[in-house]
Amino acid sequence: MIPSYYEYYNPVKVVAGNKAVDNLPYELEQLGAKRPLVVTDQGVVGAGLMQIVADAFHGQEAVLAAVYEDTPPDSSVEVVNQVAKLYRKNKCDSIVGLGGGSAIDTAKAVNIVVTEDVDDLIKLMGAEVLKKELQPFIAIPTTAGTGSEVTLVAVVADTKRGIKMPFTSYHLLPKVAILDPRMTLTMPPKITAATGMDAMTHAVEAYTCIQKNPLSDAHATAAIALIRDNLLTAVEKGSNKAARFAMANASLLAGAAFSNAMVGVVHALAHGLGGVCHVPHGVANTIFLPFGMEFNLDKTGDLYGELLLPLAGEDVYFNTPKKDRPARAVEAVRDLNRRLNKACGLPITLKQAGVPLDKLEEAATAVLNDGAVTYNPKAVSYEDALSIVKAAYDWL
Amino acid sequence: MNENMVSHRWKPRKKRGKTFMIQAGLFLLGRALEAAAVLDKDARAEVAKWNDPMTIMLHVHSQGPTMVLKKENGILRYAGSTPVEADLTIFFKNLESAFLIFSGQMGSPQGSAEHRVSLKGDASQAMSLIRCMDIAQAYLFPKFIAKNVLKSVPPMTLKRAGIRAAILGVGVPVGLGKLARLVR
Repeated sequence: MIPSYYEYYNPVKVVAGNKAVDNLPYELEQLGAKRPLVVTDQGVVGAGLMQIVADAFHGQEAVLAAVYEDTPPDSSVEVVNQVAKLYRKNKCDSIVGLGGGSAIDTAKAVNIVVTEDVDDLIKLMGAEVLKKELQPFIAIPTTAGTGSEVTLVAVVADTKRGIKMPFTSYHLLPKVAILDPRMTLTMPPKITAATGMDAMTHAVEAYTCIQKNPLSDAHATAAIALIRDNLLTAVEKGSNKAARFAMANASLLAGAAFSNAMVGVVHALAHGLGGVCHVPHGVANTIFLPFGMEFNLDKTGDLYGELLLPLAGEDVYFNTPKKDRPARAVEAVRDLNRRLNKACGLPITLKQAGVPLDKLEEAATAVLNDGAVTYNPKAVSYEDALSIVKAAYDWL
Repeated sequence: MNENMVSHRWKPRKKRGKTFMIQAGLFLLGRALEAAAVLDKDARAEVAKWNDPMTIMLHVHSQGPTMVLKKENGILRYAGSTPVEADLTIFFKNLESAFLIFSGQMGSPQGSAEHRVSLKGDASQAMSLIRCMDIAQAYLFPKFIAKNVLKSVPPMTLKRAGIRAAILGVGVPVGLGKLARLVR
Protein backbone atom coordinates (compact mmCIF):
# COMPACT_ATOMS: atom_id res chain seq x y z
CA MET A 1 0.00 0.00 0.00
CA ILE A 2 1.32 3.44 -0.91
CA PRO A 3 1.28 5.88 2.01
CA SER A 4 -0.86 9.01 1.67
CA TYR A 5 2.32 11.08 1.95
CA TYR A 6 6.01 10.28 1.92
CA GLU A 7 9.41 11.79 1.23
CA TYR A 8 12.39 10.07 -0.36
CA TYR A 9 15.83 11.53 -0.96
CA ASN A 10 19.01 9.81 -2.10
CA PRO A 11 21.24 11.99 -4.27
CA VAL A 12 24.41 9.93 -3.61
CA LYS A 13 26.39 9.00 -6.71
CA VAL A 14 27.39 5.34 -6.37
CA VAL A 15 30.74 4.34 -7.85
CA ALA A 16 30.95 0.57 -7.42
CA GLY A 17 33.07 -2.31 -8.58
CA ASN A 18 36.54 -3.41 -9.56
CA LYS A 19 39.23 -0.83 -8.60
CA ALA A 20 36.51 1.73 -7.86
CA VAL A 21 38.69 3.45 -5.22
CA ASP A 22 41.06 4.56 -7.99
CA ASN A 23 38.31 6.93 -9.15
CA LEU A 24 38.51 8.88 -5.87
CA PRO A 25 40.76 11.73 -7.15
CA TYR A 26 38.60 12.10 -10.28
CA GLU A 27 35.39 12.23 -8.24
CA LEU A 28 36.92 14.83 -5.89
CA GLU A 29 37.91 17.00 -8.86
CA GLN A 30 34.37 16.71 -10.22
CA LEU A 31 33.27 18.27 -6.94
CA GLY A 32 35.82 21.08 -7.29
CA ALA A 33 38.08 19.64 -4.58
CA LYS A 34 41.78 18.84 -4.63
CA ARG A 35 42.89 18.67 -0.99
CA PRO A 36 40.88 16.03 0.87
CA LEU A 37 41.17 15.12 4.54
CA VAL A 38 40.78 11.36 5.01
CA VAL A 39 39.14 10.23 8.26
CA THR A 40 39.93 6.61 9.07
CA ASP A 41 41.02 4.27 11.89
CA GLN A 42 43.93 2.07 12.87
CA GLY A 43 42.16 -1.13 11.78
CA VAL A 44 41.80 0.21 8.25
CA VAL A 45 45.41 1.38 8.20
CA GLY A 46 46.61 -1.98 9.58
CA ALA A 47 44.68 -3.90 6.93
CA GLY A 48 46.51 -1.96 4.20
CA LEU A 49 43.34 -0.25 2.94
CA MET A 50 44.61 3.29 3.50
CA GLN A 51 47.57 2.45 1.27
CA ILE A 52 45.18 1.45 -1.53
CA VAL A 53 43.53 4.87 -1.17
CA ALA A 54 46.90 6.66 -1.09
CA ASP A 55 48.01 4.79 -4.22
CA ALA A 56 44.98 6.14 -6.09
CA PHE A 57 46.51 9.66 -5.91
CA HIS A 58 49.58 8.68 -7.93
CA GLY A 59 49.89 10.97 -10.95
CA GLN A 60 46.85 13.03 -9.95
CA GLU A 61 46.53 16.77 -9.41
CA ALA A 62 44.55 16.15 -6.22
CA VAL A 63 46.69 15.39 -3.17
CA LEU A 64 46.03 13.85 0.23
CA ALA A 65 46.18 17.01 2.33
CA ALA A 66 45.76 15.22 5.68
CA VAL A 67 44.89 11.81 7.11
CA TYR A 68 43.39 11.21 10.57
CA GLU A 69 44.10 7.58 11.49
CA ASP A 70 42.84 7.33 15.07
CA THR A 71 39.04 7.32 14.95
CA PRO A 72 37.87 5.28 17.96
CA PRO A 73 35.01 2.72 17.69
CA ASP A 74 32.62 5.21 19.38
CA SER A 75 33.54 8.64 18.11
CA SER A 76 33.20 11.68 20.35
CA VAL A 77 32.96 15.47 20.22
CA GLU A 78 36.62 15.71 21.28
CA VAL A 79 37.70 13.57 18.32
CA VAL A 80 35.52 15.59 15.94
CA ASN A 81 36.99 18.89 17.16
CA GLN A 82 40.52 17.49 16.87
CA VAL A 83 39.92 16.36 13.28
CA ALA A 84 38.31 19.71 12.41
CA LYS A 85 41.50 21.44 13.57
CA LEU A 86 43.51 19.13 11.30
CA TYR A 87 41.21 20.07 8.41
CA ARG A 88 41.69 23.81 8.94
CA LYS A 89 45.45 23.59 9.63
CA ASN A 90 46.06 21.72 6.36
CA LYS A 91 43.76 23.95 4.31
CA CYS A 92 41.67 20.97 3.22
CA ASP A 93 38.75 21.51 0.86
CA SER A 94 36.90 18.19 1.15
CA ILE A 95 36.47 15.13 3.38
CA VAL A 96 36.74 11.39 2.73
CA GLY A 97 35.31 8.96 5.29
CA LEU A 98 37.16 5.64 5.03
CA GLY A 99 36.06 2.88 7.40
CA GLY A 100 33.04 1.56 9.23
CA GLY A 101 30.20 3.56 10.75
CA SER A 102 32.36 5.38 13.28
CA ALA A 103 34.88 6.78 10.75
CA ILE A 104 32.15 7.83 8.33
CA ASP A 105 29.99 9.36 11.10
CA THR A 106 33.04 11.23 12.42
CA ALA A 107 33.71 12.56 8.93
CA LYS A 108 30.08 13.72 8.70
CA ALA A 109 30.32 15.50 12.06
CA VAL A 110 33.64 17.13 11.09
CA ASN A 111 31.91 18.39 7.97
CA ILE A 112 29.26 20.07 10.15
CA VAL A 113 31.91 21.73 12.33
CA VAL A 114 34.09 23.04 9.49
CA THR A 115 31.09 24.28 7.49
CA GLU A 116 29.02 25.84 10.26
CA ASP A 117 32.14 27.06 12.11
CA VAL A 118 30.65 26.31 15.54
CA ASP A 119 32.58 25.99 18.78
CA ASP A 120 30.15 23.47 20.27
CA LEU A 121 28.57 20.75 18.17
CA ILE A 122 25.66 20.41 20.60
CA LYS A 123 24.22 23.69 19.29
CA LEU A 124 23.43 21.94 16.01
CA MET A 125 21.97 18.75 17.48
CA GLY A 126 18.60 17.75 16.13
CA ALA A 127 16.70 16.63 13.06
CA GLU A 128 16.68 18.61 9.82
CA VAL A 129 18.13 21.81 11.35
CA LEU A 130 21.31 22.20 9.25
CA LYS A 131 20.78 24.80 6.56
CA LYS A 132 24.12 25.23 4.79
CA GLU A 133 25.50 23.11 1.97
CA LEU A 134 28.41 21.16 3.51
CA GLN A 135 31.92 20.61 2.10
CA PRO A 136 32.37 17.93 -0.62
CA PHE A 137 32.23 14.56 1.14
CA ILE A 138 32.95 11.08 -0.21
CA ALA A 139 32.40 7.86 1.76
CA ILE A 140 34.32 4.63 1.26
CA PRO A 141 32.90 1.89 3.52
CA THR A 142 35.22 -0.89 4.68
CA THR A 143 32.46 -2.88 6.39
CA ALA A 144 29.22 -4.08 4.83
CA GLY A 145 26.51 -3.18 7.28
CA THR A 146 26.09 0.38 8.50
CA GLY A 147 25.02 1.81 5.16
CA SER A 148 26.36 5.13 6.46
CA GLU A 149 27.58 5.95 2.94
CA VAL A 150 23.98 6.65 1.91
CA THR A 151 22.34 7.78 5.16
CA LEU A 152 21.46 11.21 6.47
CA VAL A 153 22.42 10.36 10.04
CA ALA A 154 25.57 10.84 12.11
CA VAL A 155 25.87 9.83 15.76
CA VAL A 156 28.61 11.27 17.95
CA ALA A 157 29.06 10.79 21.71
CA ASP A 158 29.34 13.75 24.02
CA THR A 159 31.44 12.11 26.71
CA LYS A 160 31.26 15.08 29.11
CA ARG A 161 27.49 15.12 29.13
CA GLY A 162 27.27 11.35 28.80
CA ILE A 163 24.92 11.40 25.82
CA LYS A 164 24.95 10.22 22.21
CA MET A 165 24.10 13.07 19.90
CA PRO A 166 22.22 12.15 16.72
CA PHE A 167 22.35 14.58 13.81
CA THR A 168 19.85 14.06 11.03
CA SER A 169 20.03 16.21 7.90
CA TYR A 170 19.82 15.68 4.17
CA HIS A 171 23.00 17.80 3.95
CA LEU A 172 24.90 14.96 5.68
CA LEU A 173 24.50 12.61 2.74
CA PRO A 174 27.82 12.06 0.95
CA LYS A 175 28.15 13.32 -2.61
CA VAL A 176 29.71 10.00 -3.67
CA ALA A 177 29.81 6.48 -2.18
CA ILE A 178 32.61 4.25 -3.42
CA LEU A 179 32.15 0.48 -3.10
CA ASP A 180 35.30 -1.44 -3.92
CA PRO A 181 35.40 -5.21 -3.22
CA ARG A 182 39.02 -4.83 -2.04
CA MET A 183 37.86 -2.69 0.87
CA THR A 184 35.94 -5.45 2.67
CA LEU A 185 38.07 -8.52 1.79
CA THR A 186 40.04 -8.44 5.05
CA MET A 187 37.05 -8.13 7.38
CA PRO A 188 37.15 -10.99 9.96
CA PRO A 189 34.29 -13.54 9.84
CA LYS A 190 32.56 -12.48 13.07
CA ILE A 191 32.54 -8.79 12.07
CA THR A 192 31.37 -9.76 8.57
CA ALA A 193 28.47 -11.66 10.15
CA ALA A 194 27.53 -8.95 12.65
CA THR A 195 27.67 -6.11 10.12
CA GLY A 196 25.77 -8.21 7.59
CA MET A 197 22.99 -8.80 10.12
CA ASP A 198 23.04 -5.06 10.86
CA ALA A 199 22.21 -4.51 7.18
CA MET A 200 19.53 -7.22 7.39
CA THR A 201 17.98 -5.41 10.36
CA HIS A 202 18.03 -2.09 8.49
CA ALA A 203 16.20 -3.68 5.59
CA VAL A 204 13.61 -5.61 7.65
CA GLU A 205 12.81 -2.61 9.85
CA ALA A 206 12.71 -0.20 6.88
CA TYR A 207 10.12 -2.48 5.27
CA THR A 208 7.90 -2.56 8.35
CA CYS A 209 8.21 0.83 10.05
CA ILE A 210 5.61 3.58 9.67
CA GLN A 211 7.78 5.74 7.38
CA LYS A 212 8.02 2.98 4.73
CA ASN A 213 7.36 3.97 1.14
CA PRO A 214 7.49 2.26 -2.28
CA LEU A 215 11.07 3.34 -2.97
CA SER A 216 12.46 2.26 0.39
CA ASP A 217 10.54 -1.03 0.03
CA ALA A 218 12.27 -1.77 -3.28
CA HIS A 219 15.68 -1.16 -1.75
CA ALA A 220 14.87 -3.18 1.37
CA THR A 221 13.68 -6.32 -0.43
CA ALA A 222 16.65 -6.23 -2.83
CA ALA A 223 19.01 -5.95 0.13
CA ILE A 224 17.43 -8.89 1.98
CA ALA A 225 17.70 -11.19 -1.04
CA LEU A 226 21.38 -10.28 -1.51
CA ILE A 227 22.10 -10.95 2.18
CA ARG A 228 20.24 -14.28 2.00
CA ASP A 229 22.40 -15.39 -0.92
CA ASN A 230 25.79 -13.99 0.13
CA LEU A 231 26.25 -13.43 3.84
CA LEU A 232 27.18 -16.99 4.79
CA THR A 233 29.59 -17.23 1.84
CA ALA A 234 31.24 -13.94 2.83
CA VAL A 235 31.63 -15.26 6.39
CA GLU A 236 32.92 -18.72 5.45
CA LYS A 237 35.00 -17.71 2.41
CA GLY A 238 36.17 -14.18 3.11
CA SER A 239 38.27 -14.00 -0.05
CA ASN A 240 35.22 -14.50 -2.27
CA LYS A 241 35.13 -11.12 -4.04
CA ALA A 242 31.68 -11.67 -5.55
CA ALA A 243 30.09 -12.35 -2.16
CA ARG A 244 31.93 -9.41 -0.60
CA PHE A 245 30.80 -7.07 -3.37
CA ALA A 246 27.22 -8.34 -3.12
CA MET A 247 27.24 -7.66 0.64
CA ALA A 248 28.63 -4.15 0.07
CA ASN A 249 25.72 -3.54 -2.31
CA ALA A 250 23.23 -5.06 0.15
CA SER A 251 24.52 -2.74 2.87
CA LEU A 252 24.15 0.29 0.61
CA LEU A 253 20.64 -0.72 -0.46
CA ALA A 254 19.57 -1.32 3.14
CA GLY A 255 21.14 2.01 4.12
CA ALA A 256 19.20 3.87 1.43
CA ALA A 257 16.04 2.07 2.60
CA PHE A 258 16.33 2.94 6.28
CA SER A 259 17.61 6.46 5.63
CA ASN A 260 14.20 7.06 4.05
CA ALA A 261 11.99 4.76 6.14
CA MET A 262 13.78 4.77 9.51
CA VAL A 263 14.11 1.82 11.90
CA GLY A 264 12.09 0.62 14.88
CA VAL A 265 12.09 -1.38 18.07
CA VAL A 266 15.06 -3.62 17.18
CA HIS A 267 17.35 -0.61 16.77
CA ALA A 268 15.93 1.04 19.87
CA LEU A 269 16.81 -2.13 21.82
CA ALA A 270 20.27 -2.31 20.25
CA HIS A 271 20.95 1.36 21.03
CA GLY A 272 19.73 0.88 24.60
CA LEU A 273 21.89 -2.18 25.13
CA GLY A 274 24.86 -0.59 23.35
CA GLY A 275 24.72 2.44 25.64
CA VAL A 276 24.51 0.39 28.83
CA CYS A 277 26.67 -2.68 28.09
CA HIS A 278 28.69 -1.62 25.01
CA VAL A 279 27.51 -4.60 22.97
CA PRO A 280 28.55 -3.97 19.34
CA HIS A 281 25.63 -2.58 17.35
CA GLY A 282 25.59 -5.37 14.74
CA VAL A 283 25.67 -8.08 17.42
CA ALA A 284 22.81 -6.47 19.34
CA ASN A 285 20.74 -6.17 16.15
CA THR A 286 21.46 -9.82 15.33
CA ILE A 287 20.15 -10.92 18.72
CA PHE A 288 17.09 -8.67 18.84
CA LEU A 289 15.86 -8.90 15.22
CA PRO A 290 13.74 -12.10 15.56
CA PHE A 291 12.38 -10.92 18.93
CA GLY A 292 11.50 -7.48 17.57
CA MET A 293 9.72 -9.13 14.63
CA GLU A 294 7.75 -11.36 17.02
CA PHE A 295 6.79 -8.32 19.09
CA ASN A 296 5.39 -6.55 16.02
CA LEU A 297 3.73 -9.66 14.51
CA ASP A 298 0.17 -8.67 15.48
CA LYS A 299 0.57 -5.22 13.86
CA THR A 300 2.67 -5.94 10.78
CA GLY A 301 2.41 -9.69 10.30
CA ASP A 302 1.35 -9.29 6.66
CA LEU A 303 4.51 -7.34 5.88
CA TYR A 304 6.71 -10.02 7.46
CA GLY A 305 4.77 -12.55 5.39
CA GLU A 306 5.77 -10.62 2.25
CA LEU A 307 9.39 -10.60 3.40
CA LEU A 308 9.47 -14.40 3.51
CA LEU A 309 10.12 -14.34 -0.26
CA PRO A 310 13.42 -12.40 -0.10
CA LEU A 311 14.30 -13.98 3.26
CA ALA A 312 13.86 -17.64 2.34
CA GLY A 313 13.45 -17.78 -1.44
CA GLU A 314 10.69 -18.88 -3.80
CA ASP A 315 10.41 -22.54 -2.76
CA VAL A 316 9.83 -21.80 0.89
CA TYR A 317 7.56 -18.84 0.14
CA PHE A 318 5.23 -20.70 -2.25
CA ASN A 319 5.17 -23.85 -0.11
CA THR A 320 4.15 -21.94 3.01
CA PRO A 321 0.44 -21.13 3.47
CA LYS A 322 -0.20 -17.37 3.58
CA LYS A 323 -1.27 -17.40 7.22
CA ASP A 324 1.96 -19.11 8.28
CA ARG A 325 4.32 -16.84 6.35
CA PRO A 326 4.83 -14.16 9.05
CA ALA A 327 5.95 -16.69 11.68
CA ARG A 328 8.02 -18.53 9.06
CA ALA A 329 9.80 -15.23 8.23
CA VAL A 330 10.80 -14.88 11.89
CA GLU A 331 12.03 -18.48 11.82
CA ALA A 332 14.07 -17.77 8.65
CA VAL A 333 15.92 -14.98 10.48
CA ARG A 334 16.45 -17.21 13.51
CA ASP A 335 17.75 -19.97 11.25
CA LEU A 336 20.24 -17.59 9.60
CA ASN A 337 21.37 -16.49 13.08
CA ARG A 338 21.98 -20.12 14.10
CA ARG A 339 24.00 -20.80 10.94
CA LEU A 340 26.12 -17.68 11.50
CA ASN A 341 26.64 -18.69 15.11
CA LYS A 342 27.85 -22.09 13.96
CA ALA A 343 30.04 -20.64 11.19
CA CYS A 344 31.90 -18.01 13.20
CA GLY A 345 30.65 -17.89 16.78
CA LEU A 346 28.49 -14.79 16.26
CA PRO A 347 26.62 -14.28 19.57
CA ILE A 348 22.89 -14.85 19.17
CA THR A 349 21.83 -14.53 22.82
CA LEU A 350 22.56 -11.71 25.24
CA LYS A 351 24.25 -14.24 27.51
CA GLN A 352 26.65 -15.22 24.71
CA ALA A 353 27.33 -11.50 24.15
CA GLY A 354 28.45 -11.22 27.77
CA VAL A 355 25.60 -9.01 28.96
CA PRO A 356 25.32 -9.06 32.79
CA LEU A 357 21.86 -10.14 33.94
CA ASP A 358 21.60 -7.17 36.30
CA LYS A 359 21.88 -4.67 33.43
CA LEU A 360 18.67 -5.69 31.65
CA GLU A 361 16.42 -3.18 33.47
CA GLU A 362 18.79 -0.30 32.72
CA ALA A 363 18.93 -1.27 29.03
CA ALA A 364 15.12 -1.46 28.85
CA THR A 365 14.84 2.03 30.36
CA ALA A 366 17.23 3.45 27.75
CA VAL A 367 15.11 1.99 24.92
CA LEU A 368 12.25 4.41 25.53
CA ASN A 369 14.35 7.52 24.87
CA ASP A 370 15.53 6.27 21.50
CA GLY A 371 14.01 8.03 18.51
CA ALA A 372 13.56 4.72 16.66
CA VAL A 373 10.63 3.89 18.96
CA THR A 374 8.65 6.66 17.21
CA TYR A 375 8.78 4.83 13.89
CA ASN A 376 7.97 1.36 15.19
CA PRO A 377 4.50 0.25 14.08
CA LYS A 378 3.54 -0.64 17.65
CA ALA A 379 3.84 1.36 20.87
CA VAL A 380 6.73 0.20 23.06
CA SER A 381 6.46 0.43 26.85
CA TYR A 382 9.13 -0.21 29.46
CA GLU A 383 7.46 -3.54 30.24
CA ASP A 384 7.54 -4.51 26.54
CA ALA A 385 11.23 -3.61 26.25
CA LEU A 386 12.11 -5.52 29.42
CA SER A 387 10.17 -8.56 28.31
CA ILE A 388 12.03 -8.65 24.95
CA VAL A 389 15.41 -8.16 26.59
CA LYS A 390 14.70 -10.98 29.06
CA ALA A 391 13.49 -13.28 26.30
CA ALA A 392 16.65 -12.62 24.27
CA TYR A 393 18.94 -13.31 27.21
CA ASP A 394 19.26 -17.08 26.97
CA TRP A 395 16.73 -18.54 24.55
CA LEU A 396 18.81 -21.37 23.07
CA MET B 1 10.95 40.40 -20.06
CA ASN B 2 7.84 42.42 -20.92
CA GLU B 3 6.74 44.17 -17.74
CA ASN B 4 3.11 43.38 -18.54
CA MET B 5 3.91 39.68 -18.17
CA VAL B 6 4.87 40.13 -14.50
CA SER B 7 1.81 39.63 -12.40
CA HIS B 8 1.51 41.07 -8.93
CA ARG B 9 -1.98 39.84 -8.23
CA TRP B 10 -1.05 36.45 -6.78
CA LYS B 11 -1.08 36.73 -3.04
CA PRO B 12 -1.32 33.81 -0.57
CA ARG B 13 -4.76 33.53 0.99
CA LYS B 14 -4.89 34.09 4.71
CA LYS B 15 -5.70 30.99 6.76
CA ARG B 16 -7.18 32.69 9.77
CA GLY B 17 -9.44 29.79 10.79
CA LYS B 18 -6.66 27.21 10.73
CA THR B 19 -4.21 29.58 12.42
CA PHE B 20 -6.72 30.23 15.20
CA MET B 21 -7.45 26.55 15.61
CA ILE B 22 -3.75 25.65 15.84
CA GLN B 23 -3.09 28.43 18.34
CA ALA B 24 -6.05 27.22 20.39
CA GLY B 25 -4.79 23.63 20.11
CA LEU B 26 -1.33 24.68 21.28
CA PHE B 27 -2.86 26.51 24.25
CA LEU B 28 -4.97 23.46 25.16
CA LEU B 29 -2.02 21.12 24.83
CA GLY B 30 0.25 23.45 26.81
CA ARG B 31 -2.17 23.76 29.71
CA ALA B 32 -2.96 20.02 29.57
CA LEU B 33 0.77 19.22 29.74
CA GLU B 34 1.14 21.60 32.69
CA ALA B 35 -1.72 19.85 34.49
CA ALA B 36 -0.66 16.32 33.56
CA ALA B 37 2.81 17.05 34.99
CA VAL B 38 1.08 17.59 38.35
CA LEU B 39 -1.69 14.98 38.27
CA ASP B 40 -0.45 12.03 36.20
CA LYS B 41 2.33 9.97 37.77
CA ASP B 42 3.86 8.93 34.44
CA ALA B 43 3.96 12.53 33.13
CA ARG B 44 5.32 13.68 36.50
CA ALA B 45 8.13 11.10 36.30
CA GLU B 46 8.99 12.17 32.75
CA VAL B 47 9.10 15.90 33.57
CA ALA B 48 11.20 15.21 36.68
CA LYS B 49 13.94 13.85 34.38
CA TRP B 50 14.14 17.03 32.25
CA ASN B 51 16.83 19.66 32.78
CA ASP B 52 15.83 22.43 35.21
CA PRO B 53 15.46 25.19 34.13
CA MET B 54 14.40 24.25 30.62
CA THR B 55 12.50 26.03 27.87
CA ILE B 56 10.57 24.12 25.24
CA MET B 57 8.90 25.56 22.16
CA LEU B 58 6.47 24.18 19.60
CA HIS B 59 6.48 26.51 16.62
CA VAL B 60 4.90 26.56 13.17
CA HIS B 61 7.54 27.58 10.62
CA SER B 62 8.29 30.34 9.96
CA GLN B 63 6.00 32.94 11.49
CA GLY B 64 3.12 30.76 12.62
CA PRO B 65 1.55 29.94 15.99
CA THR B 66 3.80 29.11 18.91
CA MET B 67 3.60 27.49 22.32
CA VAL B 68 6.29 27.92 24.97
CA LEU B 69 6.65 25.66 28.02
CA LYS B 70 9.01 26.39 30.89
CA LYS B 71 10.20 24.08 33.60
CA GLU B 72 11.49 26.00 36.63
CA ASN B 73 12.06 24.72 40.14
CA GLY B 74 10.55 21.39 39.18
CA ILE B 75 7.27 22.87 37.92
CA LEU B 76 6.17 22.87 34.30
CA ARG B 77 4.05 25.76 33.09
CA TYR B 78 2.57 27.00 29.85
CA ALA B 79 4.50 30.22 29.14
CA GLY B 80 2.58 31.85 26.34
CA SER B 81 2.74 32.12 22.57
CA THR B 82 5.67 34.44 21.90
CA PRO B 83 8.63 32.74 20.17
CA VAL B 84 11.77 32.51 22.33
CA GLU B 85 15.22 30.93 22.13
CA ALA B 86 14.46 27.47 23.53
CA ASP B 87 16.54 24.50 24.66
CA LEU B 88 14.29 22.15 22.72
CA THR B 89 12.18 23.20 19.74
CA ILE B 90 9.80 21.17 17.64
CA PHE B 91 9.08 22.93 14.35
CA PHE B 92 6.03 22.15 12.25
CA LYS B 93 7.18 22.74 8.68
CA ASN B 94 4.00 24.59 7.70
CA LEU B 95 0.51 25.49 8.83
CA GLU B 96 -1.21 22.61 7.03
CA SER B 97 1.09 20.04 8.67
CA ALA B 98 0.37 21.52 12.10
CA PHE B 99 -3.35 21.52 11.30
CA LEU B 100 -3.31 17.80 10.45
CA ILE B 101 -1.82 17.11 13.88
CA PHE B 102 -3.89 19.55 15.94
CA SER B 103 -7.16 18.60 14.29
CA GLY B 104 -6.68 15.01 15.45
CA GLN B 105 -6.17 13.65 11.93
CA MET B 106 -2.62 12.50 12.63
CA GLY B 107 -0.50 11.65 15.67
CA SER B 108 3.02 12.80 16.39
CA PRO B 109 4.64 9.50 15.25
CA GLN B 110 2.92 9.76 11.86
CA GLY B 111 3.82 13.46 11.72
CA SER B 112 7.48 12.51 12.24
CA ALA B 113 7.25 9.67 9.70
CA GLU B 114 5.88 12.10 7.11
CA HIS B 115 8.69 14.62 7.84
CA ARG B 116 6.11 17.19 8.90
CA VAL B 117 8.17 18.26 11.89
CA SER B 118 11.83 19.00 12.56
CA LEU B 119 13.67 19.11 15.84
CA LYS B 120 16.34 21.32 17.36
CA GLY B 121 17.82 19.96 20.56
CA ASP B 122 18.41 16.69 22.40
CA ALA B 123 16.47 13.87 20.70
CA SER B 124 16.19 11.80 23.91
CA GLN B 125 14.52 14.72 25.73
CA ALA B 126 12.26 15.18 22.72
CA MET B 127 11.18 11.53 23.10
CA SER B 128 10.27 12.21 26.72
CA LEU B 129 8.32 15.34 25.68
CA ILE B 130 6.45 13.33 23.05
CA ARG B 131 5.51 10.70 25.66
CA CYS B 132 4.12 13.52 27.83
CA MET B 133 2.22 14.92 24.85
CA ASP B 134 0.74 11.45 24.27
CA ILE B 135 -0.35 11.30 27.91
CA ALA B 136 -1.91 14.79 27.68
CA GLN B 137 -3.66 13.97 24.38
CA ALA B 138 -5.12 10.78 25.86
CA TYR B 139 -6.86 13.00 28.45
CA LEU B 140 -7.84 15.73 25.98
CA PHE B 141 -9.25 13.71 23.10
CA PRO B 142 -12.33 11.49 23.14
CA LYS B 143 -11.50 7.84 22.43
CA PHE B 144 -12.56 7.89 18.76
CA ILE B 145 -10.00 10.65 18.04
CA ALA B 146 -7.35 9.33 20.44
CA LYS B 147 -7.38 6.03 18.50
CA ASN B 148 -6.31 7.97 15.38
CA VAL B 149 -3.45 9.85 16.97
CA LEU B 150 -2.02 7.47 19.57
CA LYS B 151 -0.45 4.06 19.01
CA SER B 152 -2.16 2.76 22.15
CA VAL B 153 -4.97 4.34 24.15
CA PRO B 154 -5.01 3.63 27.90
CA PRO B 155 -8.37 2.42 29.29
CA MET B 156 -10.46 5.13 30.98
CA THR B 157 -10.47 4.06 34.64
CA LEU B 158 -12.26 5.98 37.38
CA LYS B 159 -8.98 7.54 38.44
CA ARG B 160 -8.15 8.63 34.90
CA ALA B 161 -11.66 10.05 34.48
CA GLY B 162 -11.06 12.15 37.61
CA ILE B 163 -7.73 13.42 36.25
CA ARG B 164 -9.39 14.23 32.92
CA ALA B 165 -12.10 16.23 34.71
CA ALA B 166 -9.45 18.13 36.70
CA ILE B 167 -7.41 18.86 33.56
CA LEU B 168 -10.40 20.07 31.56
CA GLY B 169 -12.16 21.80 34.48
CA VAL B 170 -9.24 23.49 36.24
CA GLY B 171 -5.97 22.76 34.42
CA VAL B 172 -6.89 24.23 31.04
CA PRO B 173 -8.78 27.36 32.17
CA VAL B 174 -6.65 28.26 35.21
CA GLY B 175 -3.31 26.47 34.90
CA LEU B 176 -2.34 23.88 37.49
CA GLY B 177 1.33 24.92 37.42
CA LYS B 178 0.33 28.22 39.05
CA LEU B 179 -1.59 26.40 41.78
CA ALA B 180 1.30 24.00 42.34
CA ARG B 181 3.61 26.99 42.84
CA LEU B 182 1.18 28.59 45.33
CA VAL B 183 0.89 25.35 47.31
CA ARG B 184 4.68 25.25 47.61
